[in-house]
Amino acid sequence: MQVSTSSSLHRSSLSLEQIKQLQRASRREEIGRNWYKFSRNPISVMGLLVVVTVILLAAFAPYVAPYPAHAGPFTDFANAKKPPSATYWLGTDQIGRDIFSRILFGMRSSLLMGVVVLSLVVPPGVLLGLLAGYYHNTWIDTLIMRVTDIFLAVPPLVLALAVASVLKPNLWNSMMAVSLMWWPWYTRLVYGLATALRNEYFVIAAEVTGASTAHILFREIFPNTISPILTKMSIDIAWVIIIGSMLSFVGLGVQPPEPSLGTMIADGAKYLPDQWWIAVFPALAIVVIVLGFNLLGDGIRDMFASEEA
Amino acid sequence: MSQPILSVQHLKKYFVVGQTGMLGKRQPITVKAVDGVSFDVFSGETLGLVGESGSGKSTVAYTVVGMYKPTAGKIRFMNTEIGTNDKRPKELQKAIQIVFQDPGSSLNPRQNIKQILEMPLRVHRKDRNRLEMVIYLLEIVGLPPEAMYKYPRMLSGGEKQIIGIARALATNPSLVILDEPTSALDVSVQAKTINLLLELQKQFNLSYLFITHDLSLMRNVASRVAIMYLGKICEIANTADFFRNPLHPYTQMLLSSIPVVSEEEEALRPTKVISRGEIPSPVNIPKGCSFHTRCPFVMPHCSEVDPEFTDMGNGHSVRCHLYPQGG
Amino acid sequence: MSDVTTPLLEIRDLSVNFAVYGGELRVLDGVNLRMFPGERIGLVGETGCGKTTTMKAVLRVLPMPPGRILRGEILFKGRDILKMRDSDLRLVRGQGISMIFQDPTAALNPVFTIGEQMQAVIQSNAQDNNLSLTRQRSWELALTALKDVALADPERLLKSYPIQLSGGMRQRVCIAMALSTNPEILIADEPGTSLDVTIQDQILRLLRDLVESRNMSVILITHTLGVVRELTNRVYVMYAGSIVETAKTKKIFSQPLHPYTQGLIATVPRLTGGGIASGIPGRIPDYRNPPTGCRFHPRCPHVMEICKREKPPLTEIDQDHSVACFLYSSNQKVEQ
Repeated sequence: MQVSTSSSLHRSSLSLEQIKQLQRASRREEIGRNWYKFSRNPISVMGLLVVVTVILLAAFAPYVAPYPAHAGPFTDFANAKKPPSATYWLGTDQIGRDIFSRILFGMRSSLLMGVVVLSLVVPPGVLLGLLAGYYHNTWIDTLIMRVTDIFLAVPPLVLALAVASVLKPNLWNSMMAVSLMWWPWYTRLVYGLATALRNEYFVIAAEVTGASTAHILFREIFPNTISPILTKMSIDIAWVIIIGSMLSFVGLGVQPPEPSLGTMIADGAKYLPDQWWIAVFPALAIVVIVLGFNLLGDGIRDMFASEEA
Repeated sequence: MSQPILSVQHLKKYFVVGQTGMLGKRQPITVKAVDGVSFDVFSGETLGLVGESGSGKSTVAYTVVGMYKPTAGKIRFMNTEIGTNDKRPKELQKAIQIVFQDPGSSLNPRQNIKQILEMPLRVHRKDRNRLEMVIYLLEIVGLPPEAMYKYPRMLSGGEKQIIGIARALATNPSLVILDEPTSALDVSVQAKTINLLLELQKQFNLSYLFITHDLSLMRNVASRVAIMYLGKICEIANTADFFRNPLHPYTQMLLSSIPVVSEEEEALRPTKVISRGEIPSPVNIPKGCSFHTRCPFVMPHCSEVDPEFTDMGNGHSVRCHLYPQGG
Repeated sequence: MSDVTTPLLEIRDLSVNFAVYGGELRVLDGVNLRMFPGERIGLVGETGCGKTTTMKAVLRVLPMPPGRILRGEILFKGRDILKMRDSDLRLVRGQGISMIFQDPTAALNPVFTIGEQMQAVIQSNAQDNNLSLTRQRSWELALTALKDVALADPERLLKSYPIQLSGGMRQRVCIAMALSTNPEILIADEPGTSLDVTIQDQILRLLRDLVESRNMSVILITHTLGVVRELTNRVYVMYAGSIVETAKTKKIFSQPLHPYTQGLIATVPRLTGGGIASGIPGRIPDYRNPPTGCRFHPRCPHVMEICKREKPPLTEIDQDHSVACFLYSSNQKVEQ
């Protein structure tokens, strides 16, 4: 690219088709560059692989699981508490159900919980954070952030327990309870970013030119918060899965006979250490999922990190 | 050139930065960033507003462009008072634009050049074909249309600044405030950027309010120069006159501090005044003439009485007790 | 002259690449630099020419990877810094070479007082020399160092935190710290750029007095030609990863030979007026795919065929004046 100082204005001869080509080429390059930055750390790629595998396994659980029926009301006392073998890869539980099949189905509810909670939590959390941050030091800021503080003061698990004990204990109620307590974290995160971004010259340029508030919030500020949001989401999915498992562990989440990793650990704990596989494998599944999402989060952060010279 | 396009009169801008004192008798800490500044910018000219940090030069710029509301004083643009507007009308936002100092922060890193240049078009030129306008804007600043889909980080500092200029021109303004537009650039890139700015000025009859700390640059760019120190103008003159005969001790100190590259320039630098002392904090501006703490010619009453402007003729005014009014 | 004295620092054919998306940046392409005791060198070039990378290589603080040294040596008193063991390197960094940075705020730790930071530097330097200093002694040394840089009320200053100081005072503290170990070479990276003009002038004058009175060897890295002219006695001009010209400072300004040096000096706005030169056409090259031959050839007004094919070597064409440009080599010699 060269700066010519000729003042003669010749009409550009670019056709619409050429412009579209340019756009496509730049998009391709952007994807290539992002993948390069993400994949420079092999551990991030591993995280991505784990997450994709887990999602695929959970999505196709009915087809992948060797004994799909074992995810429902099923008993086979003849084969109860069998150790891992060629027939039952990860053994069977106290009433003879295949643990591998149940883990696959259990991951479904775990992931579902993660996805539902985050999609309930992120949009309002981010929006409030943008507003409070942009209107820093006004009553809007004070109102939003004080309410946020109040919600932040209640531990999500405790509230989930409270809600679940008042309402019917099931997966949906626990998800609502967790969501109610989770949005403030996104408000906090985006608030911090937005208060800094509002002073950037590109925001000021938009203001003095008369751009609408919506433009400034969503086109100028929001795109610069995406990276930390995605990173946090990736790590939060892991957290929500842990909390969901805890709720199930204490009997406030997924209700039997539907499988959930938390319930499986709770049931299996009674048979430790002799029939260790009943509890250990579901626990390992949680570890793998959580680790996968955390590593993925690191990769996303690297991907958005600005290039150094 | 007789009618000013912008006329700033006794402009004051104070900021409250905190509080002092115990509970019950708290007093606000005020920074007098701009404390009674007056100047005119004429159509098609470049006024250089020169100063160091704490001089308030950027505050003047931001107040003119509407980021701040003046504490007192008048800002008249094309004979209309604009300082008192709570929200400026679209016409005004269109007519006064600004180019910022830091090319890194002035472009949104998550937008490509097309999106960046479309922002002012969205607001002010709803009728036009935006894509065509973006290409046109790139053309007038000498960049190829291929630059459209690049992101700021792929551009050099100079190219980023040129995009900043294109964005300012998108609304077809008549007054452009240049807030140290080249201070972050290398000299050879600065040269290109300045030449582009001068060419655009001719082409579109733009008036520039050029904020800078670089006197050598102003020697070559501005038609008139005003020097600011701690919120006040201390000297204003036509460029040629200003450099031939710098009057204010602070101006002389500034000139003597500039690193130069030739002996002819060295001859121009005042030798009597050598830089000394610290620039006082704008929170705690010295009484009387604010420069008296560093002035080599300080007199007893300098620390008591703030001098008034003395007209030295030919549009050359200086605010210093060395040049008494009528004397 | 070079027969009698060995260079204090010599960089030979230093070449460095950086790995990035889509290939490697060929940042340094054979840098050659020689410094004799007592010389004050200005390393001049525009953003991205590799001057900072060169100095990072000298201090061996280049991040590797992505950085990679292809070839070359950096000899400090005849020993290659690039091959030194860590313990020797510590000594070189501690008392051989000190550095002053552009931004004094970033160079000071905000949570320690000036005194604590200066004492730490002085103590660790003493340890490297197998000496032990009492706290009292290191305090006194810090005090003297501050007095040397003309700071008023040094006792109070030692108890202050960096935030309580102005930018100019912080830079003075940084200079005091850098000099407190009595280094043989002082590297100053844009020492006044972040400061105001009048304050920068004070700092530069202080620096000049200090190095002149101590006869210290200095490398000044900067893109401001005026600062070079006032502070140094020899200039190395760098463009796109190699030295294109070197001469005594006076000579460079009065008689620049390389077309890049000429263009660079011409673009500096003059206090005498006369408008702004149009600048050097084009832009610095893409280091992923730099131009063949002379890297300046796409921007050069005097470009010849050979410039596109071959890289001109840095050749001495006059006493103490070397330039890397085919314009100044006789044709026969070139064709060989």
